[in-house]
Amino acid sequence: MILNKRSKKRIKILIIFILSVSLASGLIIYALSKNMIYFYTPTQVINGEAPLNTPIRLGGMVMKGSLDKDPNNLNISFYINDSKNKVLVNYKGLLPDLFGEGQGVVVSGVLNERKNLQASEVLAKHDENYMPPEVADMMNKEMIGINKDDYK
Amino acid sequence: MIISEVGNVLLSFATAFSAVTTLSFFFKNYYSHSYIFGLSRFFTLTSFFIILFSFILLSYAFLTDNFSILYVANNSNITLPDIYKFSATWGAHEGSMLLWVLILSFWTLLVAFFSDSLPKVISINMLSIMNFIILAFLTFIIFTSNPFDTIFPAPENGNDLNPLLQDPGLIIHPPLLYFGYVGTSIPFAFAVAILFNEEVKPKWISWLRKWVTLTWFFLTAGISLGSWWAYHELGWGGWWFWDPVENASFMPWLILTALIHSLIISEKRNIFLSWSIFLSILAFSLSLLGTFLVRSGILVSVHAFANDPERGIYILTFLSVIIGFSLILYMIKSNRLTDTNDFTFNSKEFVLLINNILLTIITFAILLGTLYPLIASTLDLGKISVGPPYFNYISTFLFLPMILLMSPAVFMAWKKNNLKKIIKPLTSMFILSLILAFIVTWLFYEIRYLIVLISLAFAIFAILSSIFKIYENIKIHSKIKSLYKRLININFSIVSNSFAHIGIGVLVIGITISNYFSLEKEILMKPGDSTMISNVEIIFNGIKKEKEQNYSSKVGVFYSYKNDVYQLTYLPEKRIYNVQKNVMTEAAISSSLARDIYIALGEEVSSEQWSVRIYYKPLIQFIWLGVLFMLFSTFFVFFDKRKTLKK
Amino acid sequence: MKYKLAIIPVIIFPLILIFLLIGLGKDPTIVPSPLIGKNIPTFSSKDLISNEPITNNDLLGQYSLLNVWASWCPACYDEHDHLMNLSEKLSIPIYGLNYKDNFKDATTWLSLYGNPYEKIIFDFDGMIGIEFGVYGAPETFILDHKGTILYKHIGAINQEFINNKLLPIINNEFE
Repeated sequence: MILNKRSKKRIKILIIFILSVSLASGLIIYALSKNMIYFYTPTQVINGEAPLNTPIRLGGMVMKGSLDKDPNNLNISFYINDSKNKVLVNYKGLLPDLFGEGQGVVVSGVLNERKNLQASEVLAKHDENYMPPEVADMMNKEMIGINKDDYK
Repeated sequence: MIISEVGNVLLSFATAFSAVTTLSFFFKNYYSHSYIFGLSRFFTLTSFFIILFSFILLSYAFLTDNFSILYVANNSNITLPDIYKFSATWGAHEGSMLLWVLILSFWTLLVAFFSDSLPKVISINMLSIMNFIILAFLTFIIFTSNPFDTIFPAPENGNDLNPLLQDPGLIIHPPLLYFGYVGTSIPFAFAVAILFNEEVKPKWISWLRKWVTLTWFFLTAGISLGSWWAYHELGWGGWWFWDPVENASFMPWLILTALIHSLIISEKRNIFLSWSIFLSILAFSLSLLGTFLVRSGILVSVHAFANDPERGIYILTFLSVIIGFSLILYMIKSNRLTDTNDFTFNSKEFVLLINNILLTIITFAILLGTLYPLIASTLDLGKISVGPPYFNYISTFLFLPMILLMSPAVFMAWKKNNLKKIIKPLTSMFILSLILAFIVTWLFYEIRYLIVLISLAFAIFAILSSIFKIYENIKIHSKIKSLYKRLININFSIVSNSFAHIGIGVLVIGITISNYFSLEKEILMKPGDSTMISNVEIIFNGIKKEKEQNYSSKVGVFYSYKNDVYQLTYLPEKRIYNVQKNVMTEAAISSSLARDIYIALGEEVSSEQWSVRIYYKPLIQFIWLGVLFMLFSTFFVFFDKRKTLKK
Repeated sequence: MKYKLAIIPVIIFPLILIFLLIGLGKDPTIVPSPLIGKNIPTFSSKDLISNEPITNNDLLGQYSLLNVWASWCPACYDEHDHLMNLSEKLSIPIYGLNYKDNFKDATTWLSLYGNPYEKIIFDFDGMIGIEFGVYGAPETFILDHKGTILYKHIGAINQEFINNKLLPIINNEFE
């Protein structure tokens, strides 16, 4: 088949187009797969559904009376609970303005072997909702109340 | 009570006027075009003033503390300072939608009065389309988010404006952003009008390019003001968070940037017309999508407005109708546009095409990252969030080649290049940039990351080549004696793109250095304590308490010393707003071109002992300096006279 | 050729649209209450203060507000000013459901901060709360005279709830 100049160029353009698009999609898919962070509840963590030593997000309520601040440095620990279980969170740094005991919270970090979360970030979004939506949704699925016992 | 009734009547009238103007599309051929155009123009003017008046009325209700209006009761308070009472008019959903429509109506008015270079048929169609959008949003306001709804009995006092919004930056941020967002309706209306017309003249493209540039100006200003606000107000030292709402404004920006470049090609070479038309549709679609994402609360975001699925459904319906319609129209009609893709690889248009492809791919990647959590939860793949690293990774690898290409693009000629002529200056400038990047990093920072050297070199390359281009441009005319003649002979299109590219270069330098060489300290301090950050000593003096009209605050007093010489006092605050009892952090920032020092108060950990966050951010002001260059560049676009090249 | 390329956006767009539409239905911040529009469950308990028997029939006869609270709940403290205010100004009664609390803490709490409630259902083991579909305190139900749940508010009462939900519902009733 003899190609004229015009269709030769058209093919060249097409090749460049396909090459750049596939290169870009490869890059995008790679980046996406590396940076997806899954969200878990304390119960899922205790049941072993959440992977260890992998960045995750954990959401729930800051258990009342569990917030422990070291007066000598910025080490902070607290429990995040849902209706059934609680997970210990360790964090070093400043807390956001909207953080408080009995309030909803989402933290990102890594679980260690004892299923404690080493948090790198504590998120309290700027809405005054009673609990973060993900948490509300999860709890709604379970349809079980927050027990008073969880606050002990 | 009367305000509410008048407001509702005004909104209804405006709706009626826009509806009538929309109909001109169908009736234009029964009468003379100039007659129909005159009518459309008059109705557009009238409807603009009616919407403006309803907006003023709402502001008046705020300023007079009229809590019988539900929207006022929910978003204002007697103790709110007057300036924030005024800005509260667009502080929440209902009012900001009214502002949205007001600005849309204003753009439509401008099109009605400054479209003499277009044929009447195109103008009529554009006005009709834009009025249809006004119509849709007015009915949206009236039926799902009416700011004039009343409450009975009226409360004695209101619920106050969200303290986050009580900031000077946020008074003008939404209007600027909306000017940009809504301005994309102009290229959209143009695109649809052209698809019906099936013929384009370069003169019309030139007309459109100026409006697109103006829109781009506002969107750039709006986005950067938003990031400036986040940097000053959120207390975390960051200026861009890849939040869905930020992405929603960034995507149309990228497409507008692509559109400006593709319009340049279309105007100059009369090619890529259908691509330009497609980008025009895309820009507006992404603006609408952004509006939908923000308003429906479908994505969890920092900016989360109170969400309401009913509103979401309405915008989604409108979005699917108008975008679906225009995409199908494009599919059917675009191939009739006279469009020969007649270009060689060794030409400016080819490099610009690559820039367009890259920008579109970045936009798509951001769209994917923004919507991915939604897609995953729909497909039951679990609750996922896509973190900032994804976006940072994507933008690093896709923006860098684009920045590298900026310099050859400026030097290359249309149609066909004499490669020998440009390779020499380009290579020498590139080598110079590499050396400069190396020296700067080595002298002032640290040679640790390859990526820093690469992006600095690319950025400097872009700046050098742009400066060189301006210099070349002035030198050509240096033989002309009269200063005036020399000035008008300057090729303003070169000046404007050089400034824009310098801006990008400066921006990239700011982002790179501040990202990789920032210092951060989170420590406990009690009065008398001191700490070093970089070469500056920060001493904590103590806390004083202050009371303002609508909040009370604890103010930390910090002194900075350099080589034992006193420099500055920093006063970061922790505010508690009276009505909603919200705690807000106000950081204290000292800015200079070389670095920012940023102090934010944490909390009182034990008696008199405070947690404090201190940042040292080198060259972060370059980010906004770069943006200023970019904004400044648009000014010249209105003086440039491009000539279309002969085939 | 070009015609074929222009088909791509026409195909991709509906896909995005479908996700948006489904996502809208899955709105993560909306927590539906299965009880809205239904009658309150039957129960019998004792009044926290008077110790007299109290059943679901005691909540009928007029519009009312049922507030789920506990002394251990920090958000209940936040909304308490609103409740005190409402008990003074509203013409309808406010009933309390004291949820998973003990008698001593609850009565101390009320004597400290004031008692906005007409009657208080004492629900020490949370069984009545479960019947009501309560999944955390505080929650507030708006009931009509037949005991139908008109609206359920999750979280502390705020001005927005009062302005946008409570007052319109009550005003409708008295117009």
